[in-house]
Amino acid sequence: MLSVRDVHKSFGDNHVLKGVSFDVGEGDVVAVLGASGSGKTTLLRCLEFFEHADSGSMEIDGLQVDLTTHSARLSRSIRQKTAFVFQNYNLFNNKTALENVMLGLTVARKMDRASARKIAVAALTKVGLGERLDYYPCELSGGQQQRVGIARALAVNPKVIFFDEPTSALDPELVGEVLGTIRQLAAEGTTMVVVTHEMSFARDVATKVIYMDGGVIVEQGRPDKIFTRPENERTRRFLARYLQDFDYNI
Amino acid sequence: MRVDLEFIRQALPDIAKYIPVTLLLVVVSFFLSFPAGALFAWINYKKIRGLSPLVRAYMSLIRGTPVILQIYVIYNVTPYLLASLLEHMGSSFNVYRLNTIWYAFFALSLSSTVTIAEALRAGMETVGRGQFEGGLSVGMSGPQTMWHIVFPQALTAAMPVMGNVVVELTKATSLAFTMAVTEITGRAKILGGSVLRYFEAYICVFVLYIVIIALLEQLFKRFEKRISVYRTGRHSRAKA
Ligand SMILES: Nc1ncnc2c1ncn2[C@@H]1O[C@H](COP(=O)(O)OP(=O)(O)OP(=O)(O)O)[C@@H](O)[C@H]1O
Ligand SMILES: [Mg+2]
Repeated sequence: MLSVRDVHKSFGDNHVLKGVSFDVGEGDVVAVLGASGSGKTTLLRCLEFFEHADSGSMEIDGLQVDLTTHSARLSRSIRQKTAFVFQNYNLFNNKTALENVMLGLTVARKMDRASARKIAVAALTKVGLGERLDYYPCELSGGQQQRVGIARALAVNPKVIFFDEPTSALDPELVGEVLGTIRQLAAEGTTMVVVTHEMSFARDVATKVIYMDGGVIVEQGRPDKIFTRPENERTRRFLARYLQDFDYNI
Repeated sequence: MRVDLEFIRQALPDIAKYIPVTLLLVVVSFFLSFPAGALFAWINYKKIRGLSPLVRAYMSLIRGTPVILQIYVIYNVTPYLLASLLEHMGSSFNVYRLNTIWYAFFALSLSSTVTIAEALRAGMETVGRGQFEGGLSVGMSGPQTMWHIVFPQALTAAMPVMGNVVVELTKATSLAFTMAVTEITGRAKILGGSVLRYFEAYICVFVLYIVIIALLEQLFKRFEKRISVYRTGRHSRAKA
Protein backbone atom coordinates (compact mmCIF):
# COMPACT_ATOMS: atom_id res chain seq x y z
CA MET A 1 0.00 0.00 0.00
CA LEU A 2 2.88 2.35 0.88
CA SER A 3 6.44 1.61 -0.17
CA VAL A 4 9.27 3.97 0.53
CA ARG A 5 12.46 3.54 -1.46
CA ASP A 6 15.96 4.76 -0.78
CA VAL A 7 15.30 8.16 0.80
CA HIS A 8 18.33 10.40 1.19
CA LYS A 9 18.29 13.78 2.84
CA SER A 10 21.05 16.13 3.97
CA PHE A 11 20.94 19.44 5.74
CA GLY A 12 24.17 21.03 4.56
CA ASP A 13 26.97 18.62 5.50
CA ASN A 14 24.69 16.71 7.83
CA HIS A 15 23.67 13.56 5.99
CA VAL A 16 20.54 12.77 7.98
CA LEU A 17 18.84 10.04 5.91
CA LYS A 18 21.17 7.63 4.14
CA GLY A 19 18.90 5.46 2.07
CA VAL A 20 15.76 4.49 3.94
CA SER A 21 13.38 1.91 2.47
CA PHE A 22 10.38 0.18 4.00
CA ASP A 23 6.92 -1.10 3.18
CA VAL A 24 3.61 -0.59 4.91
CA GLY A 25 0.71 -2.88 4.21
CA GLU A 26 -2.94 -2.01 4.55
CA GLY A 27 -3.95 -2.02 8.21
CA ASP A 28 -0.34 -2.06 9.37
CA VAL A 29 0.75 -0.08 12.39
CA VAL A 30 4.42 0.63 11.94
CA ALA A 31 6.29 1.89 14.99
CA VAL A 32 9.48 3.80 14.16
CA LEU A 33 11.99 3.74 17.01
CA GLY A 34 15.38 5.31 17.28
CA ALA A 35 17.59 7.55 19.34
CA SER A 36 17.21 11.31 19.20
CA GLY A 37 18.73 12.69 16.01
CA SER A 38 18.50 9.43 14.10
CA GLY A 39 16.31 11.08 11.45
CA LYS A 40 12.82 9.82 12.32
CA THR A 41 11.11 13.20 12.09
CA THR A 42 13.01 14.06 8.92
CA LEU A 43 11.84 10.81 7.34
CA LEU A 44 8.16 11.52 8.05
CA ARG A 45 8.56 15.12 6.91
CA CYS A 46 10.00 13.94 3.59
CA LEU A 47 7.04 11.60 3.11
CA GLU A 48 4.62 14.49 3.74
CA PHE A 49 6.63 16.81 1.43
CA PHE A 50 7.43 19.20 4.26
CA GLU A 51 11.05 18.66 3.26
CA HIS A 52 12.37 17.95 -0.21
CA ALA A 53 14.30 14.69 -0.15
CA ASP A 54 17.60 14.66 -2.05
CA SER A 55 16.58 11.37 -3.62
CA GLY A 56 14.06 8.64 -3.05
CA SER A 57 10.59 7.67 -4.08
CA MET A 58 7.35 6.48 -2.61
CA GLU A 59 4.52 4.42 -3.93
CA ILE A 60 1.18 5.08 -2.34
CA ASP A 61 -2.18 3.71 -3.32
CA GLY A 62 -0.78 2.58 -6.65
CA LEU A 63 0.80 5.96 -7.40
CA GLN A 64 4.53 6.36 -7.86
CA VAL A 65 6.02 9.69 -6.72
CA ASP A 66 9.45 11.17 -6.62
CA LEU A 67 10.13 12.51 -3.12
CA THR A 68 12.41 15.22 -4.50
CA THR A 69 9.55 16.95 -6.29
CA HIS A 70 9.14 20.69 -5.91
CA SER A 71 5.74 20.66 -7.54
CA ALA A 72 3.18 22.14 -5.16
CA ARG A 73 0.38 20.49 -7.05
CA LEU A 74 1.89 17.01 -6.97
CA SER A 75 2.79 17.31 -3.27
CA ARG A 76 -0.73 18.37 -2.51
CA SER A 77 -2.34 15.54 -4.44
CA ILE A 78 -0.23 13.03 -2.50
CA ARG A 79 -0.91 14.81 0.80
CA GLN A 80 -4.59 14.35 0.12
CA LYS A 81 -3.99 10.61 0.55
CA THR A 82 -2.12 10.96 3.82
CA ALA A 83 -2.55 12.78 7.11
CA PHE A 84 -0.11 13.94 9.75
CA VAL A 85 -0.34 14.14 13.52
CA PHE A 86 2.25 16.51 14.93
CA GLN A 87 4.29 16.35 18.09
CA ASN A 88 2.99 19.77 19.16
CA TYR A 89 -0.50 19.28 17.66
CA ASN A 90 -0.41 22.26 15.27
CA LEU A 91 -4.15 22.74 15.53
CA PHE A 92 -5.43 25.85 13.77
CA ASN A 93 -5.44 28.34 16.66
CA ASN A 94 -8.15 30.50 15.15
CA LYS A 95 -10.59 27.66 14.59
CA THR A 96 -12.78 25.66 16.95
CA ALA A 97 -12.31 21.91 17.36
CA LEU A 98 -15.12 21.30 14.88
CA GLU A 99 -13.73 23.77 12.32
CA ASN A 100 -10.28 22.27 12.73
CA VAL A 101 -11.65 18.93 11.64
CA MET A 102 -13.99 20.30 8.95
CA LEU A 103 -11.47 22.44 7.07
CA GLY A 104 -9.74 19.49 5.40
CA LEU A 105 -13.14 18.56 3.98
CA THR A 106 -14.80 21.86 3.14
CA VAL A 107 -11.75 23.76 1.93
CA ALA A 108 -9.32 21.10 0.78
CA ARG A 109 -11.90 18.75 -0.72
CA LYS A 110 -14.75 21.17 -1.47
CA MET A 111 -17.27 19.04 0.42
CA ASP A 112 -20.55 20.73 1.34
CA ARG A 113 -20.72 21.97 4.92
CA ALA A 114 -23.52 19.68 6.08
CA SER A 115 -21.77 16.46 5.04
CA ALA A 116 -18.44 17.75 6.33
CA ARG A 117 -19.99 18.60 9.65
CA LYS A 118 -21.45 15.13 9.98
CA ILE A 119 -18.07 13.52 9.35
CA ALA A 120 -16.28 15.94 11.67
CA VAL A 121 -18.72 15.38 14.50
CA ALA A 122 -18.35 11.64 14.10
CA ALA A 123 -14.55 11.89 14.15
CA LEU A 124 -14.56 14.10 17.25
CA THR A 125 -17.03 11.81 18.97
CA LYS A 126 -14.81 8.86 18.22
CA VAL A 127 -11.85 10.50 19.98
CA GLY A 128 -14.12 11.35 22.91
CA LEU A 129 -14.57 15.06 22.20
CA GLY A 130 -18.15 15.13 21.03
CA GLU A 131 -18.86 17.62 23.82
CA ARG A 132 -16.08 20.02 22.87
CA LEU A 133 -17.05 20.91 19.31
CA ASP A 134 -17.03 24.66 19.76
CA TYR A 135 -13.94 24.89 21.94
CA TYR A 136 -10.88 26.69 20.64
CA PRO A 137 -7.48 24.97 20.99
CA CYS A 138 -6.52 27.38 23.79
CA GLU A 139 -9.46 26.04 25.80
CA LEU A 140 -8.37 22.42 25.51
CA SER A 141 -5.79 20.42 27.43
CA GLY A 142 -2.78 19.03 25.57
CA GLY A 143 -4.35 15.58 25.46
CA GLN A 144 -7.59 16.97 24.11
CA GLN A 145 -5.74 19.04 21.52
CA GLN A 146 -3.86 16.00 20.33
CA ARG A 147 -7.10 14.05 20.09
CA VAL A 148 -8.54 16.85 17.93
CA GLY A 149 -5.37 16.49 15.87
CA ILE A 150 -6.12 12.80 15.45
CA ALA A 151 -9.76 13.51 14.55
CA ARG A 152 -8.58 16.08 12.00
CA ALA A 153 -6.35 13.43 10.44
CA LEU A 154 -9.06 10.76 10.52
CA ALA A 155 -11.76 12.91 8.99
CA VAL A 156 -10.08 13.17 5.60
CA ASN A 157 -10.15 9.37 5.32
CA PRO A 158 -6.43 9.01 4.53
CA LYS A 159 -4.71 5.87 3.26
CA VAL A 160 -2.12 6.28 5.98
CA ILE A 161 -1.65 8.55 8.99
CA PHE A 162 1.85 9.64 10.00
CA PHE A 163 2.37 10.35 13.70
CA ASP A 164 5.49 12.16 14.89
CA GLU A 165 5.87 11.44 18.61
CA PRO A 166 2.21 12.19 19.29
CA THR A 167 2.57 11.98 23.06
CA SER A 168 5.97 13.41 23.81
CA ALA A 169 4.73 16.99 24.36
CA LEU A 170 2.12 15.80 26.84
CA ASP A 171 2.13 15.72 30.62
CA PRO A 172 2.56 12.10 31.70
CA GLU A 173 -1.00 11.82 32.99
CA LEU A 174 -2.38 12.77 29.55
CA VAL A 175 -0.32 10.28 27.54
CA GLY A 176 -2.74 7.44 28.21
CA GLU A 177 -5.80 9.04 26.65
CA VAL A 178 -3.96 9.75 23.40
CA LEU A 179 -2.32 6.33 23.20
CA GLY A 180 -5.71 4.80 23.95
CA THR A 181 -7.19 6.65 20.98
CA ILE A 182 -4.40 5.45 18.69
CA ARG A 183 -4.85 1.89 19.96
CA GLN A 184 -8.52 2.11 19.11
CA LEU A 185 -7.69 3.22 15.56
CA ALA A 186 -5.23 0.36 15.26
CA ALA A 187 -7.92 -2.08 16.30
CA GLU A 188 -10.16 -0.69 13.57
CA GLY A 189 -7.51 -1.33 10.97
CA THR A 190 -6.28 2.23 10.33
CA THR A 191 -2.93 2.21 8.56
CA MET A 192 -0.42 4.21 10.58
CA VAL A 193 3.28 5.01 10.80
CA VAL A 194 4.05 6.12 14.34
CA VAL A 195 7.36 7.58 15.47
CA THR A 196 7.41 6.98 19.19
CA HIS A 197 9.47 6.53 22.31
CA GLU A 198 6.64 4.61 24.00
CA MET A 199 8.10 1.12 24.01
CA SER A 200 5.09 -0.62 25.48
CA PHE A 201 2.90 0.93 22.80
CA ALA A 202 5.28 -0.24 20.08
CA ARG A 203 5.44 -3.73 21.54
CA ASP A 204 1.72 -4.19 22.06
CA VAL A 205 0.11 -2.27 19.22
CA ALA A 206 2.52 -2.25 16.28
CA THR A 207 2.37 -4.90 13.58
CA LYS A 208 5.86 -3.93 12.53
CA VAL A 209 8.73 -2.18 14.25
CA ILE A 210 11.47 -0.21 12.53
CA TYR A 211 14.62 0.70 14.41
CA MET A 212 16.59 3.61 12.96
CA ASP A 213 20.07 4.75 13.81
CA GLY A 214 22.37 7.20 12.05
CA GLY A 215 19.99 7.75 9.14
CA VAL A 216 19.47 4.11 8.20
CA ILE A 217 17.05 1.39 9.21
CA VAL A 218 19.17 -0.95 11.28
CA GLU A 219 16.52 -3.54 11.83
CA GLN A 220 12.85 -4.06 11.09
CA GLY A 221 10.39 -6.81 11.79
CA ARG A 222 7.55 -8.04 13.91
CA PRO A 223 7.52 -6.53 17.39
CA ASP A 224 7.81 -9.84 19.22
CA LYS A 225 10.93 -10.61 17.24
CA ILE A 226 12.51 -7.17 17.60
CA PHE A 227 11.76 -6.92 21.29
CA THR A 228 12.77 -10.43 22.29
CA ARG A 229 15.43 -11.44 19.76
CA PRO A 230 16.95 -8.33 18.15
CA GLU A 231 19.62 -9.34 15.68
CA ASN A 232 21.63 -6.17 15.61
CA GLU A 233 23.90 -5.10 18.42
CA ARG A 234 22.78 -1.46 18.17
CA THR A 235 19.11 -2.44 18.43
CA ARG A 236 19.90 -4.58 21.45
CA ARG A 237 21.67 -1.73 23.23
CA PHE A 238 18.91 0.76 22.42
CA LEU A 239 16.18 -1.57 23.65
CA ALA A 240 18.11 -2.53 26.75
CA ARG A 241 18.30 1.12 27.73
CA TYR A 242 14.62 1.78 27.10
CA LEU A 243 13.23 -1.45 28.43
CA GLN A 244 15.15 -0.91 31.61
CA ASP A 245 13.31 2.38 32.12
CA PHE A 246 10.15 0.66 31.06
CA ASP A 247 10.58 -2.10 33.62
CA TYR A 248 11.07 0.46 36.35
CA ASN A 249 7.74 1.94 35.40
CA ILE A 250 5.84 -1.27 36.14
CA MET B 1 -9.90 87.66 23.24
CA ARG B 2 -13.64 87.21 23.32
CA VAL B 3 -15.01 83.87 22.22
CA ASP B 4 -18.12 84.20 20.09
CA LEU B 5 -20.34 81.48 21.53
CA GLU B 6 -23.20 82.37 19.24
CA PHE B 7 -20.97 81.73 16.24
CA ILE B 8 -20.00 78.33 17.66
CA ARG B 9 -23.64 77.45 18.26
CA GLN B 10 -24.48 78.17 14.64
CA ALA B 11 -21.30 76.86 13.04
CA LEU B 12 -21.09 73.52 14.86
CA PRO B 13 -24.16 71.92 13.22
CA ASP B 14 -23.17 73.39 9.89
CA ILE B 15 -19.68 71.89 10.10
CA ALA B 16 -21.09 68.64 11.45
CA LYS B 17 -23.02 68.28 8.19
CA TYR B 18 -19.68 67.51 6.58
CA ILE B 19 -18.90 64.60 8.89
CA PRO B 20 -20.13 62.17 6.20
CA VAL B 21 -17.45 63.53 3.85
CA THR B 22 -14.78 63.02 6.49
CA LEU B 23 -16.04 59.50 7.19
CA LEU B 24 -16.26 58.72 3.51
CA LEU B 25 -12.62 59.73 3.13
CA VAL B 26 -11.64 57.51 6.07
CA VAL B 27 -13.65 54.49 5.00
CA VAL B 28 -12.81 54.52 1.31
CA SER B 29 -9.12 55.23 1.91
CA PHE B 30 -9.00 52.44 4.48
CA PHE B 31 -10.67 49.94 2.18
CA LEU B 32 -8.34 50.95 -0.62
CA SER B 33 -5.25 50.57 1.51
CA PHE B 34 -6.26 47.33 3.21
CA PRO B 35 -6.16 44.99 0.20
CA ALA B 36 -3.12 46.78 -1.16
CA GLY B 37 -1.41 46.50 2.24
CA ALA B 38 -2.36 42.83 2.51
CA LEU B 39 -0.95 42.16 -0.95
CA PHE B 40 2.31 43.95 -0.09
CA ALA B 41 2.50 42.10 3.21
CA TRP B 42 2.11 38.80 1.41
CA ILE B 43 4.75 39.73 -1.18
CA ASN B 44 7.21 40.67 1.56
CA TYR B 45 6.34 37.66 3.72
CA LYS B 46 6.87 35.29 0.79
CA LYS B 47 9.89 37.35 -0.31
CA ILE B 48 8.64 37.00 -3.85
CA ARG B 49 11.58 37.53 -6.17
CA GLY B 50 11.41 40.64 -8.29
CA LEU B 51 8.37 42.06 -6.50
CA SER B 52 9.51 42.19 -2.90
CA PRO B 53 12.38 44.68 -3.52
CA LEU B 54 10.00 46.86 -5.52
CA VAL B 55 7.43 46.87 -2.75
CA ARG B 56 10.08 47.66 -0.18
CA ALA B 57 11.43 50.54 -2.28
CA TYR B 58 7.92 51.91 -2.62
CA MET B 59 7.37 51.58 1.11
CA SER B 60 10.58 53.50 1.95
CA LEU B 61 9.61 56.17 -0.53
CA ILE B 62 6.21 56.71 1.09
CA ARG B 63 7.52 56.44 4.63
CA GLY B 64 10.30 58.91 3.85
CA THR B 65 8.15 61.74 2.50
CA PRO B 66 5.65 64.05 4.21
CA VAL B 67 1.99 63.38 3.48
CA ILE B 68 1.46 66.93 2.30
CA LEU B 69 4.12 66.42 -0.35
CA GLN B 70 2.50 63.16 -1.46
CA ILE B 71 -0.78 65.01 -1.76
CA TYR B 72 0.85 67.72 -3.82
CA VAL B 73 2.31 65.16 -6.21
CA ILE B 74 -0.88 63.13 -6.51
CA TYR B 75 -3.09 66.17 -6.90
CA ASN B 76 -0.96 68.12 -9.34
CA VAL B 77 1.02 65.55 -11.24
CA THR B 78 -1.35 62.58 -11.59
CA PRO B 79 -4.11 64.39 -13.52
CA TYR B 80 -1.52 65.66 -15.95
CA LEU B 81 -0.02 62.17 -16.44
CA LEU B 82 -3.45 60.60 -16.61
CA ALA B 83 -4.63 63.13 -19.18
CA SER B 84 -1.67 62.56 -21.47
CA LEU B 85 -1.99 58.81 -21.06
CA LEU B 86 -5.68 58.86 -21.94
CA GLU B 87 -5.03 61.15 -24.86
CA HIS B 88 -2.35 58.79 -26.04
CA MET B 89 -4.84 55.93 -25.85
CA GLY B 90 -7.32 57.97 -27.80
CA SER B 91 -9.83 58.25 -24.97
CA SER B 92 -11.99 61.34 -24.83
CA PHE B 93 -12.43 61.12 -21.05
CA ASN B 94 -11.64 64.40 -19.37
CA VAL B 95 -9.74 63.76 -16.14
CA TYR B 96 -10.24 67.33 -14.99
CA ARG B 97 -13.93 66.60 -14.68
CA LEU B 98 -13.20 63.73 -12.27
CA ASN B 99 -14.31 64.60 -8.73
CA THR B 100 -11.18 65.60 -6.82
CA ILE B 101 -12.24 63.35 -3.93
CA TRP B 102 -10.77 60.47 -5.96
CA TYR B 103 -7.36 62.04 -5.68
CA ALA B 104 -7.96 62.47 -1.97
CA PHE B 105 -8.82 58.78 -1.50
CA PHE B 106 -5.74 57.82 -3.38
CA ALA B 107 -3.37 60.25 -1.68
CA LEU B 108 -4.64 59.43 1.80
CA SER B 109 -4.35 55.69 1.31
CA LEU B 110 -0.66 55.82 0.37
CA SER B 111 0.78 55.93 3.85
CA SER B 112 -1.89 53.73 5.45
CA THR B 113 -1.09 51.07 2.87
CA VAL B 114 2.49 51.08 4.05
CA THR B 115 1.58 50.87 7.74
CA ILE B 116 -0.95 48.10 7.11
CA ALA B 117 1.54 46.15 5.00
CA GLU B 118 4.13 46.35 7.78
CA ALA B 119 1.66 45.36 10.50
CA LEU B 120 0.26 42.41 8.56
CA ARG B 121 3.69 41.17 7.59
CA ALA B 122 4.83 41.32 11.21
CA GLY B 123 1.57 39.55 12.12
CA MET B 124 2.29 36.79 9.61
CA GLU B 125 5.75 36.29 11.11
CA THR B 126 4.14 35.62 14.50
CA VAL B 127 2.13 32.73 13.01
CA GLY B 128 4.30 29.66 13.40
CA ARG B 129 5.37 27.39 10.57
CA GLY B 130 3.37 24.63 12.26
CA GLN B 131 0.08 26.38 11.48
CA PHE B 132 1.01 26.33 7.83
CA GLU B 133 2.06 22.69 7.88
CA GLY B 134 -1.16 21.81 9.69
CA GLY B 135 -3.05 23.23 6.73
CA LEU B 136 -0.94 21.38 4.18
CA SER B 137 -1.31 18.14 6.13
CA VAL B 138 -5.08 18.07 5.65
CA GLY B 139 -4.66 18.64 1.94
CA MET B 140 -5.16 22.39 1.72
CA SER B 141 -3.05 24.33 -0.76
CA GLY B 142 -0.57 26.97 0.35
CA PRO B 143 -2.85 29.88 -0.64
CA GLN B 144 -5.85 28.22 1.06
CA THR B 145 -3.84 27.86 4.24
CA MET B 146 -2.70 31.47 4.02
CA TRP B 147 -6.27 32.63 3.59
CA HIS B 148 -8.02 30.53 6.23
CA ILE B 149 -5.31 30.13 8.85
CA VAL B 150 -2.34 32.46 8.58
CA PHE B 151 -4.02 35.65 7.44
CA PRO B 152 -6.80 35.75 10.07
CA GLN B 153 -4.23 35.24 12.81
CA ALA B 154 -1.96 37.90 11.30
CA LEU B 155 -4.91 40.28 11.19
CA THR B 156 -5.71 39.68 14.84
CA ALA B 157 -2.11 40.36 15.75
CA ALA B 158 -2.20 43.54 13.64
CA MET B 159 -5.47 44.88 15.07
CA PRO B 160 -3.94 47.42 17.47
CA VAL B 161 -2.01 48.91 14.54
CA MET B 162 -5.15 48.86 12.39
CA GLY B 163 -6.87 50.97 15.03
CA ASN B 164 -4.01 53.46 14.86
CA VAL B 165 -4.16 53.52 11.08
CA VAL B 166 -7.78 54.56 11.21
CA VAL B 167 -7.06 57.28 13.77
CA GLU B 168 -4.15 58.60 11.70
CA LEU B 169 -6.28 58.44 8.59
CA THR B 170 -9.06 60.41 10.27
CA LYS B 171 -6.62 63.13 11.21
CA ALA B 172 -5.07 63.11 7.77
CA THR B 173 -8.46 63.74 6.14
CA SER B 174 -8.08 67.32 7.37
CA LEU B 175 -5.57 67.72 4.52
CA ALA B 176 -8.20 66.88 1.93
CA PHE B 177 -9.23 70.52 1.64
CA THR B 178 -5.89 71.14 -0.08
CA MET B 179 -7.36 68.99 -2.83
CA ALA B 180 -10.55 71.06 -2.99
CA VAL B 181 -12.53 68.49 -1.01
CA THR B 182 -14.73 70.13 1.60
CA GLU B 183 -14.83 68.00 4.71
CA ILE B 184 -15.14 69.28 8.30
CA THR B 185 -11.83 71.15 8.41
CA GLY B 186 -12.46 72.66 5.01
CA ARG B 187 -15.95 73.74 6.03
CA ALA B 188 -14.63 75.27 9.26
CA LYS B 189 -12.05 77.22 7.29
CA ILE B 190 -14.72 78.56 4.96
CA LEU B 191 -17.12 79.50 7.77
CA GLY B 192 -14.40 80.99 9.94
CA GLY B 193 -12.91 82.85 7.02
CA SER B 194 -16.18 84.44 6.00
CA VAL B 195 -16.51 86.34 9.28
CA LEU B 196 -12.91 86.07 10.51
CA ARG B 197 -13.85 83.77 13.37
CA TYR B 198 -11.12 81.16 12.78
CA PHE B 199 -10.57 80.44 16.44
CA GLU B 200 -14.21 79.51 17.09
CA ALA B 201 -14.41 77.53 13.87
CA TYR B 202 -11.35 75.52 14.87
CA ILE B 203 -12.79 74.82 18.31
CA CYS B 204 -15.73 73.24 16.52
CA VAL B 205 -13.63 70.90 14.37
CA PHE B 206 -11.42 70.14 17.35
CA VAL B 207 -14.42 68.82 19.23
CA LEU B 208 -15.73 66.94 16.21
CA TYR B 209 -12.41 65.15 15.63
CA ILE B 210 -12.20 64.08 19.24
CA VAL B 211 -15.70 62.64 19.09
CA ILE B 212 -15.26 60.93 15.73
CA ILE B 213 -11.95 59.39 16.71
CA ALA B 214 -13.26 58.20 20.06
CA LEU B 215 -16.19 56.51 18.31
CA LEU B 216 -13.99 54.89 15.68
CA GLU B 217 -11.67 53.61 18.38
CA GLN B 218 -14.60 52.06 20.21
CA LEU B 219 -15.76 50.41 17.02
CA PHE B 220 -12.32 48.95 16.42
CA LYS B 221 -11.97 47.73 19.97
CA ARG B 222 -15.21 45.83 19.60
CA PHE B 223 -14.21 44.34 16.29
CA GLU B 224 -10.82 43.39 17.70
CA LYS B 225 -12.47 41.67 20.63
CA ARG B 226 -14.75 39.77 18.33
CA ILE B 227 -12.10 38.44 16.02
CA SER B 228 -9.71 37.56 18.83
CA VAL B 229 -12.04 35.33 20.85
CA TYR B 230 -9.92 32.37 19.86
CA ARG B 231 -7.05 33.74 21.91
CA THR B 232 -8.90 33.75 25.19
CA GLY B 233 -11.76 31.38 24.49
CA ARG B 234 -15.45 31.68 25.24
CA HIS B 235 -15.73 28.97 27.83
CA SER B 236 -14.81 29.40 31.44
CA ARG B 237 -11.59 27.43 31.80
CA ALA B 238 -12.44 23.84 30.97
CA LYS B 239 -8.87 22.67 31.03
CA ALA B 240 -8.53 19.11 32.11
N1 LIG C 1 15.43 21.93 9.24
C1 LIG C 1 16.62 21.41 9.60
N2 LIG C 1 17.76 22.08 9.30
C2 LIG C 1 18.96 21.56 9.63
N3 LIG C 1 19.13 20.40 10.27
C3 LIG C 1 18.04 19.70 10.61
C4 LIG C 1 16.73 20.17 10.28
N4 LIG C 1 15.83 19.27 10.74
C5 LIG C 1 16.55 18.28 11.32
N5 LIG C 1 17.88 18.53 11.24
C6 LIG C 1 18.93 17.64 11.73
O1 LIG C 1 18.68 16.35 11.27
C7 LIG C 1 19.02 15.38 12.24
C8 LIG C 1 17.85 14.44 12.49
O2 LIG C 1 16.80 15.17 13.07
P1 LIG C 1 15.37 14.55 13.31
O3 LIG C 1 14.53 15.61 13.89
O4 LIG C 1 14.90 13.88 12.09
O5 LIG C 1 15.68 13.44 14.41
P2 LIG C 1 14.68 12.57 15.26
O6 LIG C 1 15.08 11.16 15.05
O7 LIG C 1 13.29 12.94 14.94
O8 LIG C 1 15.03 12.98 16.74
P3 LIG C 1 14.07 13.17 18.02
O9 LIG C 1 13.86 11.80 18.59
O10 LIG C 1 14.87 14.03 18.92
O11 LIG C 1 12.81 13.80 17.55
C9 LIG C 1 19.48 16.15 13.48
O12 LIG C 1 20.88 16.16 13.48
C10 LIG C 1 18.95 17.53 13.23
O13 LIG C 1 19.80 18.48 13.80
MG1 LIG D 1 11.69 13.86 15.99
